[in-house]
Amino acid sequence: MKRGWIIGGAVVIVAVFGWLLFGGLEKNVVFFLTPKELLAKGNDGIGVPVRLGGQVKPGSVKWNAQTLDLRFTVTDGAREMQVHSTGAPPQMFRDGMGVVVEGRAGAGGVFEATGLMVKHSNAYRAPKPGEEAHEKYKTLIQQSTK
Amino acid sequence: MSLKREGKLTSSTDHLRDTQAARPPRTSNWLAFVSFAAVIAAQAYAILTSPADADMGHLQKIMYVHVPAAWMTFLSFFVVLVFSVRYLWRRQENDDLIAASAAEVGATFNGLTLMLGMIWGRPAWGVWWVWDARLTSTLVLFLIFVGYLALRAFTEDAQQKAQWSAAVGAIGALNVPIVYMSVKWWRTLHQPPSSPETLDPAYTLGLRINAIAMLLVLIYFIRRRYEIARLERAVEHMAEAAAMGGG
Amino acid sequence: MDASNITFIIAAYTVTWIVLLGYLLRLVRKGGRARADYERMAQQRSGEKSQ
Repeated sequence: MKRGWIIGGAVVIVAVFGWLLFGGLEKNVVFFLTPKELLAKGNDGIGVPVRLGGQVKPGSVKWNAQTLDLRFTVTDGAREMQVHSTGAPPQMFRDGMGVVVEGRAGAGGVFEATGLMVKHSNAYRAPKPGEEAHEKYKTLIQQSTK
Repeated sequence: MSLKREGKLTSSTDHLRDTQAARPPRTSNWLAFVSFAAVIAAQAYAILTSPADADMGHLQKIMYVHVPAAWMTFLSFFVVLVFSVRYLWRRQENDDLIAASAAEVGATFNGLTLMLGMIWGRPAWGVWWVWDARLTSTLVLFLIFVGYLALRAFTEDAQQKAQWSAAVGAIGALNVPIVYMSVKWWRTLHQPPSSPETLDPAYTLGLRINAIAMLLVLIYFIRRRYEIARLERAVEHMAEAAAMGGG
Repeated sequence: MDASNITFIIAAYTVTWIVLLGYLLRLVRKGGRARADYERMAQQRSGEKSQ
């Protein structure tokens, strides 16, 4: 009983360390690329699975609730990239929000997303009347591309 | 006849002195009541007074448990580091027992931090888990201390147990600054720590009192765990002494 | 939005209390056993001594 637990624990630990050593950690230390970095790769950046991170460009979100088709632009302040995704986005997804998308850049310059995550800033504030909530994400993206 | 009697008297006072010296401290229960009452009060205050966040809404309230749990994890493993190093230096049994107690409590808070992070991540990020530097390093920290506890459970010889776990504990605790700095050193999905500049004053006091309340619980847990470790060790010593021929 | 998030908030606080009280229960049980073992052993030892 006790022995079983310990062996099970050891297997999990070895598995995680093995995974970390063989590729996992290297890829994940930089969790996402910004549009500027991905575009700088040129053709090498096309068709390979990557994560793209940035701010959802305000006013760029086009959501079709019938076909579950989502299009928006990710910007890092310097360059931007169009993203196409299917399925409902996370509830916190909105204009001006920080975002990380998983997928591949297509040859046509549109990033085909298979996964969509919202990235939060470390700022917490009560909303003020008429406040635009996305202002702080500009600084977030600038920070992470420094 | 009288000599024999005297001999017995000496050994009997020796024994008294032994148990007196080894007699473990009794942690009083008032700290348990105070600390748990403090957590209830702090959570009630924070939940009832803090407004919804501009982006997260009421989900921000998970901060009052997730962040203190993470801080207590760091603090526990810092205690492990200090007493592991002190053990390696002075070879005092009690230092080993304090380190082991803090390691068990720390692993508990570490596991709690991970679970709360997942519960928060699902609605806030859209995913339960990602393999970014912060989450991965926190999981590695947890696994190291699970390994530490398994090592202790597995090793019979008390001195070997103390030496090995002091080494593992000290090296394992060195991961704490890596976990803390991971969000600054590497690009992660997890956000960097909030500071009084980024945290609205409406949330700051709630977070602070929750951290203090959790600190009281942490102190109680480690003290109580240490008391138990001392009792168990005293029993082991008495059993050894009995096996050696009642000496 | 808040309607579904309340589930996660309740889950977070519930998990916290399960862990805190669970660990407290472990300490109480383990502590009781250790104290009993200790008292029994100490009594046994002093009994052996005074014979």
